[in-house]
Amino acid sequence: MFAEDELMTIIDEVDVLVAELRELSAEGPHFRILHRFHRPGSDCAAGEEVAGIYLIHRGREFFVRLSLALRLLFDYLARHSRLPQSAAQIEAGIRADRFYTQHTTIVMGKEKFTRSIPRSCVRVYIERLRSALEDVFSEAGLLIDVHAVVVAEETVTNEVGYRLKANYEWVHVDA
Amino acid sequence: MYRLLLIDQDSMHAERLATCLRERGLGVLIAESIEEAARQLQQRLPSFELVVVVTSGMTEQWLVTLRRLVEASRQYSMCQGPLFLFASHRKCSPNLRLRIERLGARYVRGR
Repeated sequence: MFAEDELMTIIDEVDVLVAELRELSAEGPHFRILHRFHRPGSDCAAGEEVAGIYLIHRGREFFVRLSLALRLLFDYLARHSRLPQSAAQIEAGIRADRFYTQHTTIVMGKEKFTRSIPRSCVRVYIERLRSALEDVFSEAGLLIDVHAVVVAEETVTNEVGYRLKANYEWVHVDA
Repeated sequence: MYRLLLIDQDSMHAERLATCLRERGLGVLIAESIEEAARQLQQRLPSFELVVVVTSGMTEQWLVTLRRLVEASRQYSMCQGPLFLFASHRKCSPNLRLRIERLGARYVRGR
């Protein structure tokens, strides 16, 4: 019923799936983070907006439905993905970074369009982030444990460090 | 070694394909029926990383079967579930192909 070349076509596709499995287990899923209001020559500068986050799977974009606070948190964790950070460290890191404190000021001026991430809220935000990722993985048909992507790493005390295990690309648009 | 569940109602073709895939280092189990495949995929601990469904034709019934297998694999598993490949001897309509892809399966038609 199936000729030899048809058999090879199936085997070639299985090879692609194996490559996909390896990439997923080594690096996690792939996300595209869209920064808007970019000024030429100054990627990820203060004043830009984290406009949207997309899961890229099998050549398609899947929009991750995140509020402003969660987009900022995702962007921050993506930038520091090698460093598990406690709730206090996340709060401090976001407060200290002009990218987040001056979020969207290029077009909004002094009118604030940002969020602080208080340490007391980090745990709740992390759960909401997981929930949004669970939805987008389901939409993309990607059965992956969100706890393996938004990772909580315990320290020797009861403090927990959070980090994202995924790979990312940042895309900048001028408007 | 990745484990692959093969669903192919043409037993000779299934054996040939399984032999080729085993030579590539995959652990292959040929499911004897759709029911057995669904049972295998419903395990609490995932038993397979890959599921390949091979059909000689493409009908709505196969789409129902594919949905059943995908849902079976998601029923209990909190870990990464298997990736699905749906291989058909005949070309399917763009609409049907879209529906296959929306189930999260990759589609391939034998040349």
